[in-house]
Amino acid sequence: MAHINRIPTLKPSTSMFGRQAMHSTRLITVHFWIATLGVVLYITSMWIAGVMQGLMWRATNADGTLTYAFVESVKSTYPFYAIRLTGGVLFLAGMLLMAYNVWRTARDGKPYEAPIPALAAHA
Amino acid sequence: MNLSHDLVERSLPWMVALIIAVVSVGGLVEIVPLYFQRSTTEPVKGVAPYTALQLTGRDVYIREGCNNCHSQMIRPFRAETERYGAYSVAGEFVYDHPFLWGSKRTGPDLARVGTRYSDEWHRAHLQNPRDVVPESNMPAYPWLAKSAADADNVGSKMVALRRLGVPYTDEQIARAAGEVNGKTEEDALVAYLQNLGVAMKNAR
Repeated sequence: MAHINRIPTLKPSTSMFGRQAMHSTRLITVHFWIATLGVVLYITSMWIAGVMQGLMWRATNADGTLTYAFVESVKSTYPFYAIRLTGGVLFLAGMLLMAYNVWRTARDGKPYEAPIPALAAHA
Repeated sequence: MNLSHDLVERSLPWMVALIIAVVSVGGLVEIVPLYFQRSTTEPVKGVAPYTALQLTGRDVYIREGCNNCHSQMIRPFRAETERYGAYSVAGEFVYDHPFLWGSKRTGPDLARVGTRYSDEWHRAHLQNPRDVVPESNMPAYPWLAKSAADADNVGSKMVALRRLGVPYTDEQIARAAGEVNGKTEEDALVAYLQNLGVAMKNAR
């Protein structure tokens, strides 16, 4: 088993390209925060919109008639769809940052030449 | 034998066996009776198997993913029955394979949309929903008016459904292709929509 331990762990984008670290650690941090913000915007907007729709659908007037037509709930949801879009764009932007970071890491490195272990001669 | 809680928590085979036993009893008690109750197995008065054209429209409905945004189940709440009509019952869906109840409503529930609007309204709405409902966010489906409904397969679909218990007659199946032939997918979809929930249209 000893020889297996000598093969370095292949971490994509670093070891694979003979690098100790990614091109930019700062970009990793930026990606993390952009993605987090995006997900939070996405979740909260849809959460609030869902509660709002539910309340609008069940709202009745004093005489028992419905307060809102269905399409009014659709109309009221549009601002939340816009916030969701913002969140999605942020998340996608984070992925593009990561792609750039990986590309720079690969471009500035050189491929790791994995030593091919010699096979024991067959009996 | 020690049948204390200690045994259940420390022996994986015992735990697995007992979980299977408990879940099985729960499942049997909850699910099996549904196959024998009249309320779930017999159609509501007035519910008939889909005609060949309606069945073709239903498949267009599924293909276009209408059921991703439109549910087909009215809940038994006052605001729901006020908006959509009588709440849905199991006997309305005995010929649905699969049912399209759904739970997500980007658009309104369609369980009782049949006869609520005219055929012309539906055609205009499918061409471009904004023409009849300015605030709508529903996609337009203009190609349905141009594409021919699938008459070749409707007969074999009905044969398959008959195997699942839908009482189609040989004569209905023989006529099926002729009924759909020459119709557009829009014709078929409108025929399907106009039939939704009509059996209990006047129920309160």
